[in-house]
Amino acid sequence: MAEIPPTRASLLVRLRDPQDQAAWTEFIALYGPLVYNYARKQGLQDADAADLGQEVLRAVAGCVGRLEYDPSRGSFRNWLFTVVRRKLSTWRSARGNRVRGSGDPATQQLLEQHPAPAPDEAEWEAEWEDQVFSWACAQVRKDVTDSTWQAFWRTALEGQPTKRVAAELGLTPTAVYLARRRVLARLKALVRSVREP
Amino acid sequence: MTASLDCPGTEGWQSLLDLDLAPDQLSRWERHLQLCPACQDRLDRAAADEEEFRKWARRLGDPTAAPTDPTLIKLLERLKEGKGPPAPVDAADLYFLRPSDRPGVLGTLGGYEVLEVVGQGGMGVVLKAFEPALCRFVAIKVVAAALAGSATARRRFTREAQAAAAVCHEHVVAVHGVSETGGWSG
Repeated sequence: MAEIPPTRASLLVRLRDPQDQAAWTEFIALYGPLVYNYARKQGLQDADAADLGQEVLRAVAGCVGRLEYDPSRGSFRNWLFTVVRRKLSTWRSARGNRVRGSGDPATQQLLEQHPAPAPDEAEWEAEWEDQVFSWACAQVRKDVTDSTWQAFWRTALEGQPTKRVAAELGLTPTAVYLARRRVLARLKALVRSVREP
Repeated sequence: MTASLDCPGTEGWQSLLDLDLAPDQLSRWERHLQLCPACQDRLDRAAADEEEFRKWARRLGDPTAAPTDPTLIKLLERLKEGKGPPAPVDAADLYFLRPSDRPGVLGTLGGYEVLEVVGQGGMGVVLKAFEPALCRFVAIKVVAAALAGSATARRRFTREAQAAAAVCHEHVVAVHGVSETGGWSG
């Protein structure tokens, strides 16, 4: 249940084994929301973002199977970004053609005067940072009780006094203190495991 | 008092920080930490620097408390149910290719430049290829390495191609040809 999380490189190597369902599950939990949320922020409707996410993740998993993962050629998430960027531009040009065929000229002109923002690497990096945090929290949340999570969140991240939190959760102050430390240590290990050098 | 100050070893610490701990073990830790400033200090150092997480929390709130976008949930389920990553194509499965110097070309097969593997199944592998003579892209299905040696499998492969070639419909792929190269069906 609470093994030390694998490094990115080893997850990508495991992904090459089609039998390794656990590696695939881990992979989509981390990168699925990243691609989906980024696509949404780039202006895609939810269904389109989901289609794009599905296409990108499958394509990437296929590539990992064929290529040796080589961190010296750049980080995995930069590589993923180039795939996302390419699919987004394909999606945009397909939509452009469709709109041109049906819309009235005035509307079309208006649309062309306000082109969609170019996919921005800084936005991708920001989305990644957010996803690292959300993913790590979700992983830990599965392994701890509700009161442990609350004790951690309220004391470590919201700065509430230990005694009050302990009283409200029906825990001893030491238990709250333990929760705060244990959860943070685990979160830090998870974050470290997905951050590439 | 000295007995309760029997500090846990490395393994004890590991289990504590991995969250993988039975409740009775946890109560022992609680009792120990109340009495042992050294261990408290050690735990503080292991989980120092909450600031980065505070910044995240201020910006995003508790991600485990927020409802997840239902379309995203469906996407993740769809991906999970899929058969996982596509099976990697072993170099041995492309035994029939001849090497090519052209960038982006996996190898050649007859007069075709094979560009990528489109799919793979028990019977064979489907390739995307370019036919320079007619300047068009084609799909090539090649019988699997394991079956290529079997005359029966090769006959069946050819019969299947003939049957498909007899059908002309927008939902059925048009068959341009079937042949054997170097003794293998293609």
